[in-house]
Amino acid sequence: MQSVLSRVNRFFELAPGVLLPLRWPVLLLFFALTGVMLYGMLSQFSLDMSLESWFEEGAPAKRNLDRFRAQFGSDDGVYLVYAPKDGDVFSADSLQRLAALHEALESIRLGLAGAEYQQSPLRRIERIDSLYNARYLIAEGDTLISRKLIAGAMPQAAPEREARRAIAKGQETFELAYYSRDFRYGGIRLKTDFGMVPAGGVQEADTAAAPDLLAGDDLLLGSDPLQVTQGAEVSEVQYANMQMDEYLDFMLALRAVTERPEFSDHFHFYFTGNAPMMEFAMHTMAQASGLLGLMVLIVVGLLWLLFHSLSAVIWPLTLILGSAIWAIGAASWLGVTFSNMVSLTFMLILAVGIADCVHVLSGYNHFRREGHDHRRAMALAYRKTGLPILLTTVTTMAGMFALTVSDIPQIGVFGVTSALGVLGAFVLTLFVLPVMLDIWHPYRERNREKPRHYWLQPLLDPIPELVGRAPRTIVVVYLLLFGLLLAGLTQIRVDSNFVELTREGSDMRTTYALVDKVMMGGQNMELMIDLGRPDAFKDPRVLATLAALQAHVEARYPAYVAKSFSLADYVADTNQVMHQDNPDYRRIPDDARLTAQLLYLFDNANPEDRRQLVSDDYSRSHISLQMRNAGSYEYTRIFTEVEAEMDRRFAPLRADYPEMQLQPTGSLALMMELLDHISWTQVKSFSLALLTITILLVLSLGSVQAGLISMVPNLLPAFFSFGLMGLLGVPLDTDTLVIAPLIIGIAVDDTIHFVAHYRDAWYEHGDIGRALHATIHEVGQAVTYTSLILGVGFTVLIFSDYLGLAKTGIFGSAAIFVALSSDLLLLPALIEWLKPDLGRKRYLQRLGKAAPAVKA
Amino acid sequence: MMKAHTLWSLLLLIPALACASEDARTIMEKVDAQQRAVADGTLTRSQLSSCKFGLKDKAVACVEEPRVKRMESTSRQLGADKKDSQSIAILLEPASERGIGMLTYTYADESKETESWLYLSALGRVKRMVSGAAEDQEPVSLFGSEFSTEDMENGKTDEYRYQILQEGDYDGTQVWVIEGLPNEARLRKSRYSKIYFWIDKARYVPLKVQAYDKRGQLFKRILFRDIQQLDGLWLARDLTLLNVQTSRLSTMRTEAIALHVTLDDDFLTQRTLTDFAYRERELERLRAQFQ
Repeated sequence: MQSVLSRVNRFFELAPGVLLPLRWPVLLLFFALTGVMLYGMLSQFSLDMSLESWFEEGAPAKRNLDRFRAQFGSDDGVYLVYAPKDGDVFSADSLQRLAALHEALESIRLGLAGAEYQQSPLRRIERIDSLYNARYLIAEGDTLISRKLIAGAMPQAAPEREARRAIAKGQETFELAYYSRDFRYGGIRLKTDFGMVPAGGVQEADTAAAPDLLAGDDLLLGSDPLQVTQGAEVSEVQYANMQMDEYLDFMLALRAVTERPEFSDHFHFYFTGNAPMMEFAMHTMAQASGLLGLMVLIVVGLLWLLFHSLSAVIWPLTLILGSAIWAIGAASWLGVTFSNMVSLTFMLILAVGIADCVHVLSGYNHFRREGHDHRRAMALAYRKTGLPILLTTVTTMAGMFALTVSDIPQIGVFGVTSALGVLGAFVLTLFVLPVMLDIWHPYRERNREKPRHYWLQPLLDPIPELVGRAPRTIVVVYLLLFGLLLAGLTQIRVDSNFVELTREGSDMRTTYALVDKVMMGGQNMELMIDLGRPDAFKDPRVLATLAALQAHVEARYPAYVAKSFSLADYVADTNQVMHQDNPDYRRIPDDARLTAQLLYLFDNANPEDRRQLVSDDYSRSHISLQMRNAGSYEYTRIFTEVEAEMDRRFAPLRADYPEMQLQPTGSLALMMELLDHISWTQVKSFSLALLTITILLVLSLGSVQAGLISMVPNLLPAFFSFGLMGLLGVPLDTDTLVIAPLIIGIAVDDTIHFVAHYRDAWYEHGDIGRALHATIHEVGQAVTYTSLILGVGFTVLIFSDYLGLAKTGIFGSAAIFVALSSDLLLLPALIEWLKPDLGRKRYLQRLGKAAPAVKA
Repeated sequence: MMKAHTLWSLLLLIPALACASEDARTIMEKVDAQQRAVADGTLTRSQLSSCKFGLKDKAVACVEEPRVKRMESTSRQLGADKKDSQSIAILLEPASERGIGMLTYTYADESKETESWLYLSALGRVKRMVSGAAEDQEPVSLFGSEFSTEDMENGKTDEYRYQILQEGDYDGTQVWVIEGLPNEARLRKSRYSKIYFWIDKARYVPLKVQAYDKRGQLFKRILFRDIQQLDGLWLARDLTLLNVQTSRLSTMRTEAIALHVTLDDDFLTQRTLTDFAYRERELERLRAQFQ
């Protein structure tokens, strides 16, 4: 093993020299390949930012949602809350402007608003519901009156308006949906076709594009189409996933309408639903790419500050950009579809590429200062750093490949692309950087006399002595810290609350807080019930079970469930109206015939509305729960409990409906399922990555001892971040979990450089103190540089409006500095204390030398 | 709420002399005007069946047991242009809905509210239904089937712009293919963005109607079959509606029909909903005229 390592070191020493005579062809090849990959990136790149893309084809949660949507329509719309300046949604002004807003949206929706609106995303609105057109049903003696609240006749005088207010108050389904209890807020529901557009583009209507209208039909009627035919194939419609930019376009168009003076002068608007959330996410992503740019600028600044040479700035950046283009370009050529995690890939490549280059540059400068000429210094720098760079590349790639165990396609893609990028950075550092340095290098002779970074070395030099004096104290202090963080780790909660990941006072937070407080909440959960038999939902026992379950859920979770609605509400309401509005009859009748007849009216409503609540054969229906915002932790608990309660309450009916299927679903459930799944996947791949990295470290460092010792400072940063979050009560969200391997990757890099250097020095001198001194002197600087660059770089993320990213910035940057401190203090202290041999005896035996006694 | 009465009028089409120079509007108005004249005094027993459909060897077939409703209905046209109407429909099947009755008066004058009365046999009581004037109306389903009141309306030709798209041989019959584009008022309450009609030139019978949704996608296709001549009038006794977006179909079969019957003055009133003996006596008399 050791001779292999020597040969590898020798290889790295020689490698840069081999290509120098061919420097122009190498450069040309690099730029040509980068060009090809860039072309691939520009021409083939495809991005799928839909929630659905996070699920494997046929994943049960997604299948349930697809089934739900196929049956009951899209649950993905926009709920618009408006607050009139005069504080009353029933004032003359408010009603008139609401009517005008309805008209504005309705005209655009129907394509009547003029040419400029023909392609408007608002044409995707399928229905607009508010106080204006809400249809009420009241009984006056034996007369049933069903009218639109305002649209039928705009009330002119105050008493008329008060009469409408009284009607609205009497309609169970209006309150909290269309008006707040104090009438200061109103709600407008926009039902859209989001997630309901057939995949594969819009199918050509058979009369479009110069059709022959006299041609035969594609669908033939047999003699009796009503004859049930086995094996007849039903065409299942596949729906296209919603992309984030579709939501953004929709919101832009919607805001353009609500911001017209005639509306914004009187109303203040609040938007909830997936579309505004995605709009916020897009805004965050745009901001994140700005921050990423700032991060690059900081990296540039620090590189300049630390190396005082333009070449030390331009070459690393060229290589990092090259690696990123190679990785993303290659994957694009292979037809890979990316997610928004592609920005993380870039961050990882940036981190790893910087570390690779800084180690080489730092080594090069070190050897130049020691008096070696340019080419010799380069050979020595690669000899020292080549193997650790290879090791860090292999371990980081292994960590990234560990992510492919995830059954979440997007995380797998992220893993493989990032691994490719890391490999690219390695190849370029090894073969292209030498050529670049040969053309233009950072070292200046005058630096030799007066190195400008003299501030760092004096700080690093006393460390070996300090560590030598009290290694146990340092280890004990770190152990205590470890213990404390372990305690913190036990407190950590995996909880993603999208709204709470926005800043205090942000539009998103204000809106959701308001909608939760005064309206019916901005989230929704669906309980899908398939009883497997026609007319099941006309059975009074089934309807009574629905009603009881709703009552239970509303009573049990008053803080979370604002309102619930099902077919049972419709039947109970109709029963009351049919009995002269006597409230005693607001219940499900026991008589099956009467129930069926009450549903007769519902049956005759328009089929699109009916299908939103119950299937045509009355075998499938659902309960909609309007939920207030909460975190995934609470939602998951509620979902689990509600599912159990649903099973329990429907159990007595199972004898009559043996094919019964009960499932919670909806976009929110899908999201919760995803968050839960990501958490577990990340924990799994994180453990797998740690295990893989440990094994690789043991193998590559040639000693179990070395491998295990170097894992200690590798674990500490993760323990530190997560433990601290636990102690501070900051929940661990999915974003942080996704980024965790990235941080570990950075921490591992430094440790590997440190241990590899130390082992070389230790083999050479057999003196721990001297070996540590040499290591800290040579590697300490590079390790500190990379940590400074990346640590400071990460802090930029603190400025993100999205706290998921800001948290990553704070805790990620802290983790990087903790990794640095453990490499500089804990690792040397552990070495001083445990005095590991790291296989030196075997090495010397193989060389035929006796191992001298260890000198402390 | 119910506009079942208008349903029958669409089945009844008066033949007229085909004239090559006729424009689309004239054709459609002729069809419509004659429909209204014909709907004046009709008793029908019909069956509405609905199911999810699939395809086998390109032929449409139910993949589940169809849901069947049977009913008897009577209608007459009133007013100067015979544009007002009165109708009554009584359900015979399914058993749970047997006896439900619906009486409806509609008026050509848009400012006049549609009047309807509902009788639920399980409650034994008539309820007057007030659901607003035309502006406030939305198309609703016909007895829970894929047919909507909009598919069955007549007297609304003013609300469309018509043009002939093509003419020639369609499945062995000479037809005009006419496009109907709704005006703004109609578009606002309609579920369709346009309608295509395949009109038999000789008999003035639609052979096929296609309705398109607001995105311009094919939504429903209605096929008219079993076209017969009764009392000199052409009518289709078998309508099949394919909702191609939901893969559901509904058929409407006229089991028995009597045209131009004389109705008792009281028959199209609330009395028929509640007075079982009177209703049966009158119906028996009318049924004797089934053709």
